Amino acid sequence: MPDLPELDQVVHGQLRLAVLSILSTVEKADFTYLRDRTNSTDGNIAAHLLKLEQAGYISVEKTFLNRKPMSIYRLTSAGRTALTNYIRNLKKLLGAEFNKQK
Amino acid sequence: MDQELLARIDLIERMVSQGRRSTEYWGWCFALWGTGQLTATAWATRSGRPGLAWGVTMAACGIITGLVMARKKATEQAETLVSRSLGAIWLCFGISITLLAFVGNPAGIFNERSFCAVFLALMGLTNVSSGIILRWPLQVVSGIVWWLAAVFAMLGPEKMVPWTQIAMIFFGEVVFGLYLMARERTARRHA
Repeated sequence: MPDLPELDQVVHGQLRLAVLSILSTVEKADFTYLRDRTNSTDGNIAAHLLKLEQAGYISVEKTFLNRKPMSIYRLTSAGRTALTNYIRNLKKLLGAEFNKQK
Repeated sequence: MDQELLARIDLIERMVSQGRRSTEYWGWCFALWGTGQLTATAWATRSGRPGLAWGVTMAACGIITGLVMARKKATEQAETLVSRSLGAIWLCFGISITLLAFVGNPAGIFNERSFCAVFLALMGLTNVSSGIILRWPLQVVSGIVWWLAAVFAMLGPEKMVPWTQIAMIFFGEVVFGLYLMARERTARRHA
């Protein structure tokens, strides 16, 4: 039986995976956009964004718009690689499940 | 079957489609600028002062567009390559036509027919480019109609040229913009 891959636990978190998936399709997105698209709350998403930032998977740019603070997030190349690897491993795991069922 | 893994796949698919979903609504912009151009044409014809009529109307449209966009930006934003490409095309069109109108026209480089042909051809360019980027055949067809109108403006009878421009602004901008707004409203309802 082939070795089953491990899933990156930073990416595996539901909200973190949602954020990475969204950021993989846009060049950049602000905090409000990410919060609304993931149906999350300020505190919850902030904690997960921080975790992704600490892992080096996203970068943040703090700026001001009309004197209001604004955080703009981007997927880093490490984040893109992590998401790609995660999806590849997920497919492998699901393939193994399919094979087990046959 | 591991339901958790399947749920993750479903989550990725949903979020990717959320990110790809356009958050930019541009129907109002077409309708606004089309109405502005028709107003300027009517004002210029009645007053005989095209410089003032076009200057004031286009400046007003520019200010309204700027204010609406600033308000949208302040609420939520995400930038995609598609939105940036479309923005670049229409911004460059706007700058080009402004230069041609407010520098080329007073300098006597154009007559009514040649300026109209240039305007219609540029509208064809921007619409076809946008349609190709969005993979939206309707806008490509709209752009081709603008190009055909440009050919007509170059080769057709001179007295028909202003009417061609007015008809194209009405159908290609105002009606197209209203149609887009209706489409966007439906899309938002189903989002």
